Amino acid sequence: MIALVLSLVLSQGYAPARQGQDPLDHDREMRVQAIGKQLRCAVCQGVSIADSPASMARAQLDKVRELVAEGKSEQEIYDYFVERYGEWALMEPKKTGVTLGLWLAPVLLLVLGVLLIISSTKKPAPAAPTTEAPAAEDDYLAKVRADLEK
Amino acid sequence: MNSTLGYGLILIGLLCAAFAAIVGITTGLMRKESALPLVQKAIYGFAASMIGANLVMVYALLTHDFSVKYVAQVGSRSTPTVYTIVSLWSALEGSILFWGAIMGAYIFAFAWTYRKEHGRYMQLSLGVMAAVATFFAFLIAGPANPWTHIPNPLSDGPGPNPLLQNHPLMIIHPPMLYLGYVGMTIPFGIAAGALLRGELGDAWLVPLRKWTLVPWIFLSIGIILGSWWAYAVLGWGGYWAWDPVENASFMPWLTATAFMHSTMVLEKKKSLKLWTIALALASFILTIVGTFMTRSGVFNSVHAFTQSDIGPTFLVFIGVLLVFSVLLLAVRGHMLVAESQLGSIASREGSILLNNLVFAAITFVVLLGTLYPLITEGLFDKKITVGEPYFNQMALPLSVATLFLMGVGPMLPWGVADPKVVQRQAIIPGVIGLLVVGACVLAGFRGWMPLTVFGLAGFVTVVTLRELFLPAQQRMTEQKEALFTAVFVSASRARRRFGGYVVHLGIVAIMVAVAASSAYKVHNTGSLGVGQTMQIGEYKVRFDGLEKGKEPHREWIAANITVISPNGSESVSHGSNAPRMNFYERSNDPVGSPSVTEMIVRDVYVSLLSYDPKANTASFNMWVFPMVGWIWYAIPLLVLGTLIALWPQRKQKVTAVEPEADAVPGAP
Amino acid sequence: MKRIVAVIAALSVVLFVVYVMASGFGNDPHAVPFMMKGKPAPLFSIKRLDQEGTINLKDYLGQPVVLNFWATWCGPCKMEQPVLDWAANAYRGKAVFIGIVFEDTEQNTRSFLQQTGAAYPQVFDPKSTVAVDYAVSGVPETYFINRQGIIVKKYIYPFGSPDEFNDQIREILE
Repeated sequence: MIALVLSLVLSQGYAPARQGQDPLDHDREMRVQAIGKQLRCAVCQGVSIADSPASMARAQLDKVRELVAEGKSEQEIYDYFVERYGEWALMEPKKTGVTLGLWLAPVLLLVLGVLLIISSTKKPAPAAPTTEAPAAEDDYLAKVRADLEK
Repeated sequence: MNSTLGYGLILIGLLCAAFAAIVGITTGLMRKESALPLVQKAIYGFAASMIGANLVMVYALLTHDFSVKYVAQVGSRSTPTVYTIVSLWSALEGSILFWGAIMGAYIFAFAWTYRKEHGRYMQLSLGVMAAVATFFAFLIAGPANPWTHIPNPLSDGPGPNPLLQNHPLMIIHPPMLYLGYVGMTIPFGIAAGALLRGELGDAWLVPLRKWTLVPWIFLSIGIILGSWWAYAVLGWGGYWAWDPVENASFMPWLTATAFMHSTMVLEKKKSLKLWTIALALASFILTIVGTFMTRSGVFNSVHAFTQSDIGPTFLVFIGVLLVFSVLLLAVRGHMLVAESQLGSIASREGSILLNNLVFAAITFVVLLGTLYPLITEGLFDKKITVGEPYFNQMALPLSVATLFLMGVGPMLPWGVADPKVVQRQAIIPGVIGLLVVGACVLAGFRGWMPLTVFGLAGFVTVVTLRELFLPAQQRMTEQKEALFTAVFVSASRARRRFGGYVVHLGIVAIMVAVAASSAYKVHNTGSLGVGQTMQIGEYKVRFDGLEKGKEPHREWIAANITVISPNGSESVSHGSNAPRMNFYERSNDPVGSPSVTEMIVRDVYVSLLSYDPKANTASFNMWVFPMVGWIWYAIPLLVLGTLIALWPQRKQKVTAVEPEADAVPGAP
Repeated sequence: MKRIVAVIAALSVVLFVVYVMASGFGNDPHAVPFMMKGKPAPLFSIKRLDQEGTINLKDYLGQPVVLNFWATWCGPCKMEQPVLDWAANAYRGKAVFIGIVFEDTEQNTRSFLQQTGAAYPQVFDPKSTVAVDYAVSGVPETYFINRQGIIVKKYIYPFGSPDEFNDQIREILE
């Protein structure tokens, strides 16, 4: 409970606002921001370190900047944070193990849904004459016309 | 005094609701329609006591009666009057009390509107609504009681949460959301009433549809205003973070939207009855799940209320609702049989089925993503994060699919489509969609996602405008009517259809705005001394110095800036318009607020990260967001469309064969 | 028969969802997982605040180390300071105590330390780099490092009493 209050305090920036490091050159800074989007801020409420205004998030982003400047790969930078906070640090869950369900279940639902829809609708039979005459035109317009003819 | 009066009113409300629930459901099941007036009176009693209790609370807040627990918790003599009234819903107990008032008003409005109609369903439906009302009255009377009397009150209180005092949007955003959430009780009651009765006639569909549309529009407004608030107040340069609380409001919106479409198939084809009813039930249950997410302390969220003990009570209620709904559908579902066969997949009903599938899939993604961290922690003891990248990857392609269906659906006839006719109809919108893509590419825009959205938006807009104005054009050529008369008459002959397409236009605007503002935003960050400028896209931002200010309830430090357009024109944001840090009297944490320079096609958004009064420097986060404002500018279109669809038809003689005059075949 | 299967399936899905939500009750949704346990303590070398010179963690490896992260604006940090001062004296020669101030200004910290004094070395982490290396997720947080330089645990609450501290430090003294 105390930890909770404290993390709130910290995330709302009660700490004296501190200026972050200066951005790197454009290309590398874009990489920093992109990587920062994928990492969860340690003291905030589920936002990434690139998005959070919290001072601690800026320190974490500075760390990313430092690692990028050292020429570390994206994977190495993620590993640095996963080593510290576990997979919790990744904004996007891994596509392996337990979290695979997160990616597969919706696809499964869509496939089942499409199958269900196909089985519950008539097969389109272009050659065979159907019992229902094809609507030559939007039936609403036909009604408008009928309405006018009254 | 206030405590006793308020608590007494809540107890009366609880008794009335419980009485209405028991009598309504039992006599309804026994089909004794003579008991209806009794149920109605109890409902009126519930509404009156709930609204009365809220008035007492507002009075206690305004008179700073700190002997009432809730007033002691959120009241403060230094808070401006407007925010004192707003603090009625600024903390947990008050928000549930306010919830009770809205519920009273809704159920009263429903009961009064149909006081002489639909006797066969009315008792059951009112009974179910009253059962929900009983739960909330019980919450207010017990676990979330705001009325506890404090014997030796302090002379002043801490005031409401500073974040809520930061922006006028906070005055209207929560009531809109509550009107959306609570309103879903009505379709739930209507649908559950039909299931309990074991039949669903055409006549009962009309209130079901209308009373879903009402909360739907409030929910839409609430969600959009909430994102606008996050954008204008929280200062991180975004409007939607897929936070559990945002997700909570989005899910019932999705199912209610799916409902609005499947109800057309139900009307036209007398099919999909069970599914449509299930969507109505789900929309309500999801609002309760959403409330649980905000108020249980189980979910990690920016918006969540402080931890409270009502979580378990709520969860029991959710469990009861879910089991009740599943069993009801199981026991009574077979009575709601399809009366006709659906056409091919390339038909209007086929497109609506796909639409429903996509909406169900988005709802599933949002629910799964929100719950998954709980699943992995509870079952596998593994803490994970499901954040923005996941939701964007899964939900955005599905949203593009809805945009596609929004264009294709209206072109397809019911039953079986003639490919030639469809092809002929598709040529013009298709070509215009491709032209839009071409023009965007020539203008230098890149990226698959935004270009697909722009192209489809062009396509949908043409289809929609054609559907809106073709009937009018026909009237003009054949009847020689003037443009305005023709549009007006054709719209009023098919209100739901016309209104639905107007809403579609609003949704297209929102999707274009979301795609453009996320794909083409420009970001820069850094610190400036006085007089220095920073480049952000084509704009320059100049720092003009720090300024201190004082208002009754807060002090602030603003970093005055001037935004310089490419053509050299300057837009000054000083003082209360500048990016600032606000310091509230009774709170130690400063709250930032960004400066947003709004233009029709783009916003320049500057938030203050830190400042140094000695060196006279400030560091900023800056963004240019193209078209982001269109998300909120679309609200009037949504409201207009909904009002057109809801506008009451002149009462016609009941001799008409069709149950409702505007139930035009093919109407959306 | 088919209907019964469908109903049972639906009910089990529904009850699973309720179970999942119920499983969240005991947990703090804000808790941040801590994976540094059992890993070598990241080394650092930073400027001392209470006197001239720098503190280099390397110099203390081989002895148990207590690292306390705190800030002057954090009320609970100030509350626990007497306990830590007491502990630094009580465990003198048995364990090394280092206080690390982060998310703060040097000036604030200096004037604070001038008023209260310091029973053990205090260093200042101006860019919170050490805090990030140690995966700090709030204040105060106290890390316990054993003789082998391995992080044995971290304590995320303020110490309210000497006993509370004694319970925590035991493990790294063995």
